[in-house]
Amino acid sequence: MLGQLRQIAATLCTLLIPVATFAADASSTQEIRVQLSTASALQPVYLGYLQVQSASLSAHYTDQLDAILQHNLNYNGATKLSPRAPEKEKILNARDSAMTFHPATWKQMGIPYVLRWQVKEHALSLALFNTQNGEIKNFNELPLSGDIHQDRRQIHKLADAIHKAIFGTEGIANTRILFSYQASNPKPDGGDWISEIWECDWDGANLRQVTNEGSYTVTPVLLPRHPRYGNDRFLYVSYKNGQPKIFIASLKEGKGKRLVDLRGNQLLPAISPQRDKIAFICDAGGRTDLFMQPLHPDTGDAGKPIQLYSYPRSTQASPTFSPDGSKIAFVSDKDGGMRIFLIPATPMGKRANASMLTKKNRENSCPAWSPDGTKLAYSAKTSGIRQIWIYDFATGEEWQLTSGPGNKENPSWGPDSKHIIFNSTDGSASELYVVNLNQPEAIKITRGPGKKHYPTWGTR
Amino acid sequence: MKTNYTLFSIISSIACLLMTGCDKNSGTVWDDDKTSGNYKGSARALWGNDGAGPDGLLAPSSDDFLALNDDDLRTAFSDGAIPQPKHDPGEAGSGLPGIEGFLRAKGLEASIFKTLYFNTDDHILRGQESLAALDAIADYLKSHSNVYIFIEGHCDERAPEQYNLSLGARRANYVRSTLVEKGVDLEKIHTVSYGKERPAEYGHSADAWSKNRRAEFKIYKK
Repeated sequence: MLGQLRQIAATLCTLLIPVATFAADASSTQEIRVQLSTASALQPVYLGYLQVQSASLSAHYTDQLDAILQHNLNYNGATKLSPRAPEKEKILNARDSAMTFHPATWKQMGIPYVLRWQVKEHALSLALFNTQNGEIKNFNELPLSGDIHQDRRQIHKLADAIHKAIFGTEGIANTRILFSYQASNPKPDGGDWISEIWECDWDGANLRQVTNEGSYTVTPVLLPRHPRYGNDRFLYVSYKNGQPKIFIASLKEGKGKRLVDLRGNQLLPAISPQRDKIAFICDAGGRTDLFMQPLHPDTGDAGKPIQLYSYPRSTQASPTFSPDGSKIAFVSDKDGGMRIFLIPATPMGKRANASMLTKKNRENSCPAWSPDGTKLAYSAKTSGIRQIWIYDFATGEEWQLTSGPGNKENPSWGPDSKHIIFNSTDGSASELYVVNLNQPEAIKITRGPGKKHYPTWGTR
Repeated sequence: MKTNYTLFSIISSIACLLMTGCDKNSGTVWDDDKTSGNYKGSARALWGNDGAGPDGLLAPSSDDFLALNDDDLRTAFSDGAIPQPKHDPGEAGSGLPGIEGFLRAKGLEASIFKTLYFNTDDHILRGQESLAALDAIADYLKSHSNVYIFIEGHCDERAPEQYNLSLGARRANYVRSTLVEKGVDLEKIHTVSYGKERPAEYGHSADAWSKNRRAEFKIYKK
């Protein structure tokens, strides 16, 4: 049986490879509308045409560099590119630098930031001109390999550095996404699906299969950055041993090993930002209970698992940690419907008092705590369709972020607490979308055959 | 490279021992080429060996985890907290094959181990037919001590997929608790939740949904 599964997986890999090349252009969709509650104004930025002096780099390659930087600057939720225009290009490329870097000229056109960039042979240079204070910041001689798959990373890093220079905080362009990629393989006796963990860039490019278990794997969780291992580790649930169990693996090897020893079904893992606890759902105690297990943050050695929340005749699901690791929000149907509750992450011997956070809608699920601690993103059934909602801890308010068709679930925050990735299912297709709290467009970043769901967004 | 890792881990283990007095398993879980270190080797409980909490409450601790000690969790009904069998199938010591060794029932057993269906959002089986089926299954398992079963919990596509993974486990465990309550040996029954990830029917109609909210049985005869 396992041998057959391996064969199927190998066949699917060859089927799925063509999808990996759709790469760069993530197109927006009109269907998913995003409501903005507290949008801050996007800063206009003028990005000049890329000036190229190179014998070996093709126009196609440099066009792609341009497209990647444009995407990063248009969807970071902070800046918006002003349309390119001949008269602006003239000023930008004037022989006399004093003309180019003349604040008043640009301020008149309502442009606070100007970017002039060029490629000379295999080096990229960019100047960021702040028209408000006249300062120029130079990013010089970034090496280009000529291979777009590698050089995407350079452009993402550059975009993040530009973001930092303007706003003081790094952007999220150079971050990675993991998700579960399911392909159907119907057998005579009913459907069988293979599901593996894949990774991609935040814009959907550089698709790469990470696990190769020939089995069913779901709910990956990227671990917070580790001093020795960086961003290379992730948790996931695999059915390869029969019952779903929690595994840990490195992105480099993709070979998981068991993390939690408990009997029964282990599901829906979450890890504290300090890497010192995991929370998950397990039926080792005979019910679908919320468990917590302490970990040594550096070695990962696990302490004894602790039954953290159990309630008669009810189902618990989807734990998420607060940024300081002291609280857990999770889903329970103990009060009827599916609600999101809050409990301390510290075990107390007896069940903690769970305070209900979500009151507006009856079916709430899959909460994700923002890295800055201010919000939860979750899915709630609204007029029959699951939409992404935001719960604000400061005000206790719940507001609807998305609308339009498609059931949207499994939100995961980018490290800026502004971007969110989720999956939206219409019929049987399930794709990944990226939104941010400042812009109305939801960007679809996957397409093609197979179901993509359970996304997780890594830290910087 | 292997030798560099070994050298590095020796140095870091020594450094660790000197600095924090941590045990021999340090540096294992996050490392790629070592097996995971876990509490069974080092027998560390969160608050010390007797499991007493900071305010002295002594929680009844099973071997595997520190359990809550609320009274209402001890009910012996179909919601009873019945522990899972001692070993996962396929594990050393279980005497059982992995899940792939448990198969759909054939012949006489097929009429006993029928698929059972749930109402929407429900984890309790209702209706005469379901209850009679549970009785028949319990009787069969009690009189055939060489038969082991897996109960699969499934959901339809409508509930959110994360919650469905949990609800599937809830359904499977409910059926298990009911059978144990009727006298079946708890070591004979294992549970697995597939959530909505393995539907029986692929449609989007109420009819398809009703066929997917189910508990299926797979059996193994030793």
